[in-house]
Amino acid sequence: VRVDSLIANAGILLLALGLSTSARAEKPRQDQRIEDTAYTLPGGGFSAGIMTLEAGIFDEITIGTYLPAWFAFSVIDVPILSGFIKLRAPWEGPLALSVRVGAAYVDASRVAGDVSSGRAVRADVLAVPFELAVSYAVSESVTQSLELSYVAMKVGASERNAATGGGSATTSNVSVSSLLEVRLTPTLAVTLAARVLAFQSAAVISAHLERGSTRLKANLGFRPYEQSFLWSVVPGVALNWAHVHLEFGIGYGAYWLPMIQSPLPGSSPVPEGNLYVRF
Amino acid sequence: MELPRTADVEDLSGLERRYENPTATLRDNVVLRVLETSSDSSALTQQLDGLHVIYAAVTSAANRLAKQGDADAVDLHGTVEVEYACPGYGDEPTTNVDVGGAIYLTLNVRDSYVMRGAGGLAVGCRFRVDGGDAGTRVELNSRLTVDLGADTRIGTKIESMLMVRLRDIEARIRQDAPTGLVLNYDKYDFRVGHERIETLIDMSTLALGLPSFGTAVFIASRDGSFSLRERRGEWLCDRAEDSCELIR
Repeated sequence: VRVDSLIANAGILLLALGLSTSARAEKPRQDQRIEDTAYTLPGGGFSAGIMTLEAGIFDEITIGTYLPAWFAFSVIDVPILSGFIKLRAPWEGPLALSVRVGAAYVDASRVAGDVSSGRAVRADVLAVPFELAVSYAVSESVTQSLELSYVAMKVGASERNAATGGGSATTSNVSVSSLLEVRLTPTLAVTLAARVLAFQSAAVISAHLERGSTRLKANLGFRPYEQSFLWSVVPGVALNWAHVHLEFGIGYGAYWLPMIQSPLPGSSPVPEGNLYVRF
Repeated sequence: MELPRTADVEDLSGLERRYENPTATLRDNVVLRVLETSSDSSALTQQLDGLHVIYAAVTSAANRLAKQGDADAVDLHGTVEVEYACPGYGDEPTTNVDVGGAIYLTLNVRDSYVMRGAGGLAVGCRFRVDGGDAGTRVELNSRLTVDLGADTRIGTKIESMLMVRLRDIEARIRQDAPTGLVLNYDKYDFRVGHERIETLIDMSTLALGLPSFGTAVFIASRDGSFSLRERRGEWLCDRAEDSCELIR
């Protein structure tokens, strides 16, 4: 709860700061990286890639969706609905600040039915990531970004008659990430991305079940990760042409799921990549 | 978000050890006298068979949890609240708490194990006594503490006997007469399994003039037979023959 309120307060502060300095707005650069930074698309700009589809409403507001999520229907029969809005503080200078709020929702009834031998007949998953980012242009060629991501997740499931069985599980986490970008030429940049899971709440299950004479009401929790420290470091390369942008890298550690900004347990080689066109 | 807290429960493990290790040594000629005295000594003891309802409540809840809870991948912590509808007085057991009353229990879960200690209440819990007079009806109000005998992994059925302590007991016992008997006790404990109920007897309270004191365990089986466990083993008696045999 303290983490929630801290992030909420930080977001309000950022928005207030942004509004107070809106008169000094600076036009975003066309080729600035959006993901993992505090930057937004220019107003009227559009970006389409293998990971996201984004549009700049104004210089300070970008909306988008995670493209692969919509194609999840090929695996789970339903699409994962996702979207986000990113607000950048409209001040000029080397420092940029932004907040991004997203949501991903999937009706997982089919999957739940399969894994529970037909017991669960309704299930859904909702993830709400909230990101606070700051980017600082150290020089023309060097940019350092830091991002604080808070994600709340809720999984719900119930039987056909919700009164006889159902429940939900909730959890949240906070990740801190860093992205260093060094432009070697106008086209070529090298990057170093690092992520750390700063906080992981317990997953709490609230469930009820009624069978014959017996009613159970469970209030149970568990720690989602056995590992106490999850991290990743990924060095990479970015190629920026006039409209086409290619980013790729390979590192080591835990893999962070892009849409919900949450790590998968375990350590292994971590590939990252993105290809998008921007207009 | 922290892990849910577990509930505080009275520890009955010491009491269970006293049931496991009675101290009295009885001569065969007094065993029948002890059995008769014990089975007649308390109106509540006469209704022992009905107290199987508590066993049913606990095992039903634990077994239901075993069926639903797949805890292989995670270590669960917290509580499971149980509401068990007592069977009531009808020919068919009711599942309606308003009709049969209820037993409420809180099971503690740590590391995906149901902890051996559980606490709760019997609230207007109504049941008929099968083993006694067909017209006997009992309504029980009490605080209760249950010891499952061992911590039990979720997914495993509970089959051991349960140690039960009732406190602040009010038992309304009615047979055919419209006005019943109301029994009040501060405390009463027993051990209950699928086939039998055991109560610990302090031999000095039976006033049988026994030369030695100590404790023995009085056993009422569901088939209607009684037996007695003392330090050396269990006495099985044939009341028709007026004879008892010590099984060591």
